[in-house]
This record gives sequence, C-alpha cells and structure tokens, in this order.
Amino acid sequence: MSDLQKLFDTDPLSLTSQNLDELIAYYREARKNFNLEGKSAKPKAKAKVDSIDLDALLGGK
Amino acid sequence: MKANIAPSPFLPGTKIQYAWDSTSLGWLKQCPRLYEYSMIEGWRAKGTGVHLKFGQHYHAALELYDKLRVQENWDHDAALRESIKVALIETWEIFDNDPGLPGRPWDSEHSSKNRETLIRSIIWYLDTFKDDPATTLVLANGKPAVELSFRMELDFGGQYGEQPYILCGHLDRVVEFGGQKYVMDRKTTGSSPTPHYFDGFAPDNQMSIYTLAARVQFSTPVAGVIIDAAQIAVGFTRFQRGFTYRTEAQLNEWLADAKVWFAQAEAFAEAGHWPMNDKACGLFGGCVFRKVWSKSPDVRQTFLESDFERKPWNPLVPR
Repeated sequence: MSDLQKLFDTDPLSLTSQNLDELIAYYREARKNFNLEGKSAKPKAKAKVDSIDLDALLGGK
Repeated sequence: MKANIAPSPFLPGTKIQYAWDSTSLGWLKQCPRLYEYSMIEGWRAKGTGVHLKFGQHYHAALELYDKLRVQENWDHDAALRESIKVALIETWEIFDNDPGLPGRPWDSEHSSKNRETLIRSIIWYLDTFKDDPATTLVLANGKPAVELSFRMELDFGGQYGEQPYILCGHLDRVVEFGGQKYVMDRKTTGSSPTPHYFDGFAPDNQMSIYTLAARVQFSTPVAGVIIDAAQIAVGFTRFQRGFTYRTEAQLNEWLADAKVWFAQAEAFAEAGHWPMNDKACGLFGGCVFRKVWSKSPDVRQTFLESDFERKPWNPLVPR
C-alpha cells in the first residue's frame, strides 16, 4: 500500500498537519508534472518525405 | 433531514408549484413529462448520486477556503490545508447505528469522480487560482459573498390564493473582475470545457436566474456569470474560465417568459397531465427517462421502479 493510500485510508480526524502537507505536496507535484507534460507536448515533427522520381518509378517512361 | 423541515414548494393540497429554482424550471422547460417525473413524483436514476455528492463536496471545500481567506484572513496554505482536512472528514463514512465501528472512506464506485480526484481537484483549483484577479466581494454585513442562498418573491402569483411565485437558489460566489461584478459559478464536468461548452450558457435558465438574483436580492449590479469549469478526468483535472453576460432587457424578457411557464405548469397541474415533449428525448445525451418512456405505458411502472428511486427535490431546502 502506498503512503498516499495510507493517508486516504486513515481516519481524517487523526491526520496531522504534516500528513495533510504530504498529501498536498503529492498533488502539487502531480500538477506540476501534468502542466510540464502539457507544455512539452509539441506537435510531432512532420515525417520526412523524400520526393519520388515518378519517371524512375515507372521505368523511365 | 433538511428536506423535512423545509416547507413544501407546492401550494397546500395541490401539485401547483410556487417556489421555483433553476433545476425545476429547467425540467419544465425541457419537457413537462420530465418535470412530472422529476419534480412532482421525485424520481431519480439510481447511481446518479455520485455526481451530486462530488459536486457538493467540491463546492463546500472551495466555499470554506473563500471564507477563511476573506473573513478570517488566513493565508493560502493554511486555508487550503483546512479545506482539505474538512473535505476528508466529510467524505469519511461512519456507521450511525454503531459508532464503535471504524469508519471508512467514501467509495463512489466511479473512476473519475471519487475521493482521491476530489482532493486533487480542490488542491489544483485553489493553487491554479491562488492569485485570482476575480476577488470575492464583501457584503455590507462584513461577510464574504460566498454560498448565498436566495429567495426572491416575484410581483406576480398564480390564479390561486395570494401566494406570489418565489425564485430560489444558491450563488457560489459574487466577485469583482476587471472593474465589473459577476456571479461566479463553479461546475464540474466529465468532458472538455470547450468554447462550445460555454456557448451553452447564453441563453441559459440557470445563469439568467443567478444574474437576476444578484441584482435584485443582493443589490449588486452584476454583468453576468463567470463559469469556472473543472474537467474531472481519471488522471487530471483541467480548469477553464468562461463568461456569460445578461442585459437588463434580457432579464426582463426572461421574467416575462417565466411568467408564462409558471402559468403552463399550473395548467398542467390542474389537468393532472404533463405532456411528453418527444422532440427533447434525445437532447443532452438522451433523457434519463427515455428507456422508461420507450416502453408501453402499461409496463412503464415496472421499469421505473427497477432503475429509479424516489428522492424528492425541494428548492426551498436551505443549503
């Protein structure tokens, strides 16, 4: 069981401020990562397409 | 429990509704039969409670944060921590019949709307709008303008008795933004809040009522409503802010229409018949009662009772 899951499974009345800060820190990190993924998601580079020599393809006709 | 102490929204001994909110009026406008099943009879699809519960906890946490920040001058981190703590407590289920048993976390049985995504959404929203240029208005009594319940008596009633119609509801927050005042409404949705999503609020019954209430009941000349939409997904929560505006003339038009709708509701109640608007069955992803109404009237009750439960809706229940 992860530390996060333990926090969620604990009676909230017995959670300390430190526990709550750990929970908040976890989700802040997750948000940061989510935002970074969004910003780094650049459009994929166009696939390089070599020009085709139709004449060569058609046997010089 | 509150439902028991609130007065009935119907005139005594009748099915004539005098206290209306955006939800019940929305049902009537969409389809009189939908209104009959949802409002008059109080049927709800089983399992839809998760969306309501999630929304209630989300709103309550943000409301608490706003109050702590504005009324108590708490800093961001302290108010956030307290809001999270209360949200965790509110979503911790204890057994009323045996308080000695250990409690357990709320299990929504929903992949994207559950306790974990609720906590995540609260933290992400409050951090995203930590330095929000939309600031909460402070009312004349010194209290922050958050979670304002309103009951607005209209200057007309039905043809029975002297009871005037009442418009009621709850405003999430009233804010100042860019030199203008707005009602702010926070919404959670499973889909991406695109420009098309926000276009759906003009015209819109709920946003017109909110603007009207802010202007009349709270004497605040709001320009319209700011909608803070939260897309709740399994792995993330994404926020988008949209605006919808209302002029005085538009609100007067809305009120004139409402008067006709209320008279219609009265006529349906008198006749004891709420006709089906079968052109609306496919709207908004399909009516919840479509599966029932697609059956022959003589077998509908069986289908109704298997998939739905009675949970009466009362606009007069205070939040």
